[in-house]
Amino acid sequence: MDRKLDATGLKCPKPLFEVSRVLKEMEPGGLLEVTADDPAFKLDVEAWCRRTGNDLVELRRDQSTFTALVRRAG
Amino acid sequence: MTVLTKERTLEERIEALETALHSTGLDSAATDPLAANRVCMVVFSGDLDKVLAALTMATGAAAMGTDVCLFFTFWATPVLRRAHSGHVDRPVIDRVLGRMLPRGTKGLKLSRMNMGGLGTAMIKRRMREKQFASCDELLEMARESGVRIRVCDMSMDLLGIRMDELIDYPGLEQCGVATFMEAALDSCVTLFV
Repeated sequence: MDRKLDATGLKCPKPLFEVSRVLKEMEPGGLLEVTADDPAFKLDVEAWCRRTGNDLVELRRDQSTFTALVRRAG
Repeated sequence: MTVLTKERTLEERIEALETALHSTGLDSAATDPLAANRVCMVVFSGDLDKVLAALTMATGAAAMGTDVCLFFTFWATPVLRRAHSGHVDRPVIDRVLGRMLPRGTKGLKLSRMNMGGLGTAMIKRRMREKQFASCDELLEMARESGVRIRVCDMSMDLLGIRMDELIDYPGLEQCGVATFMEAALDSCVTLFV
């Protein structure tokens, strides 16, 4: 894990805006762990990763909290 | 004997589709690799809910690495006014219009259930409680992520709004329909809000 981002409490489009911002600051290949509780986050982070080419390594759900591991594209 | 049907490979099918598309002359967005990454939007409405929708889509698209350009026209033009803008040396009609139109995002109302301002105040309070991004926050995010904004020159003239009344936004410029159409023709998504 290279960076952690707590996006809990944030609503669309803020969680992915933050993911995009933080990932840009990271090195290619870097791993970011994001936690979010916006119900839209699951489908949105999947779409975002498909579209931006970043790798969604893992997406977990613990009750209402999602944890996503995103690897920055090289 | 002639072969009427033949199993075609995916490449052959794509090639046939591309040839057909070329012949329509409508393929700029399909063949220009940059177009696939461009979104433009006409922001026409000055209603709070619709401006929120437009700005949410714009910042979302920018966060996905898309090049976004917003064209503010008609009722959306006053959304770009600064909260405090003087209006000296203006024709009377311009001053009256200036007073009636919202000054920036603060004066926007819901398109439905405004109820003399009560509905709008309630929705704004709920947005704060639920940590929704406000119009101002979304504009700040748009600025940060490089969303471009253009404003319709005709609307400004008609509504008596001048460039020096508008918010300080990088690269904010006046334009006409040709600028919008060029952007729309070069984009794969164009929305009207």
